[in-house]
Amino acid sequence: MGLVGPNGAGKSTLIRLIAGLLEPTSGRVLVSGQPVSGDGPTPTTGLGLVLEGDRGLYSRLTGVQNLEFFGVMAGLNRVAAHQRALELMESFDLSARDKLVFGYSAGMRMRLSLARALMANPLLVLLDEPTRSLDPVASSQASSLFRKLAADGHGVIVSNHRLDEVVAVCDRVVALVDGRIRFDGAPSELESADSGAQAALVALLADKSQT
Amino acid sequence: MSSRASIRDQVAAITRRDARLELSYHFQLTMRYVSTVFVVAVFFFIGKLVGDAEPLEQFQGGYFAFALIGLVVMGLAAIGLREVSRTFTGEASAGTLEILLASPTPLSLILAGSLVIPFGLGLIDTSIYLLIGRTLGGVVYTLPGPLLAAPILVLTIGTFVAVGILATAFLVLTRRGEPFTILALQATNLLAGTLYPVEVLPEPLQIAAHLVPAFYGLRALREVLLSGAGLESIWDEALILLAFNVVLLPLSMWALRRALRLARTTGTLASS
Repeated sequence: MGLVGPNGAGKSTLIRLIAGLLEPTSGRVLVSGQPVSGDGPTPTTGLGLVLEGDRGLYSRLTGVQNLEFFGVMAGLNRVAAHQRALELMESFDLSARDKLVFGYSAGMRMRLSLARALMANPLLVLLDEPTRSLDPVASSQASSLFRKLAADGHGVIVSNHRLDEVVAVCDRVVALVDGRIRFDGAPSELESADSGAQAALVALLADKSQT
Repeated sequence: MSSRASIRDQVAAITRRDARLELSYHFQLTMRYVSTVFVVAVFFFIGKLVGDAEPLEQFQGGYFAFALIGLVVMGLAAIGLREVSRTFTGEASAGTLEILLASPTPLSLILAGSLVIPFGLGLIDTSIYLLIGRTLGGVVYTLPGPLLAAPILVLTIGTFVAVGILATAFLVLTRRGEPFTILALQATNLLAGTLYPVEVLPEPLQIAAHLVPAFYGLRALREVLLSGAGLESIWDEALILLAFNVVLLPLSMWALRRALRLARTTGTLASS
């Protein structure tokens, strides 16, 4: 599912609400039928999280050391975390196991962040503007990875302020403007000429982005 | 065998991470211990000037040994006061704070684990202080002194950690925790008898010293390490320190949880 909307629409807020990092002022958030509470992360145990693009890594540790650490924090023991880290380094094409993260390119950091989010094999992966700092080639590669995550059975919610990227990669698009849902449906519905929704949404997003 | 992490796994993972990060700044680590020796040298020469002033007659090693105990406690106190809020600000600036808070690892475990390496390094400082005290000050630490000193030191540090957690709650709400820790550190320096006996203070300040947990810790540590006293002499101090811990530690964790909940409502968590 892609969350799309201009800056300030509430995409990151919604991601953080689902992750239990923000408390809703009204209403409630359910993850796998369990309410998310501000007091404890238990309902979010099955969540993988990538916030603020490629941040959230220790730059003076290697990729494997980062993954091992976050794997144990996500609930794996050391042996399982090490094994899973090596698997993910391999499948995310991060061969430089002993290289410190500060030597990684933006694309490598993005892939490592994704690998970190998948350490405990979560049911749901939340990605907040994951392609923000990537060039078009790396962004396209990342989009392929998001598709692969969904194909592997993970629920994926990805936020992006670019409608074209979301439409290209997601099965479902939710458009937010000023914290309200303006569109919720399949990309094909958005693209259908007779609904008129796409033209209206694009115009709305363009207008809000300029303000 | 289960693949789930135990508490020991999680504390060990945090400790490994912190050890690797510390070792990646090995020049800073080296300078830390060089400066420790310099600090001790300063007090050694002050000790030569002061000698065995009257209020210090009950302690072996004169002013130098007396001050070394104060330096040990204040060094570990500074770690206890600052390290929790440093953990928060460091994780926030790396972008890892929210990832950790969204993980199933309890906050109390993350904080406790983050204290292992700083206190480990602090204990190396302590060993250097005590070793130099023995070598230059001629202080002989006979059993059971060090064995009694260890729990007293833990209880004393516990009170500073509690104040440090309170400062972190303040930091989460106001984005500034330093006023709290600076006040606690300076009040302790002034009142607790860190570098001089409290007997030299005016009477109102001597009474105020009883409100500072480190006052009891320092008194008990000097009794057992410098005067050769046994458990019966420090029992009262140990109980008072325990009471401070029993009240302050749960209170500070409650305050931090409340502050985090408020930050979750106002959306200021990431900028702590």
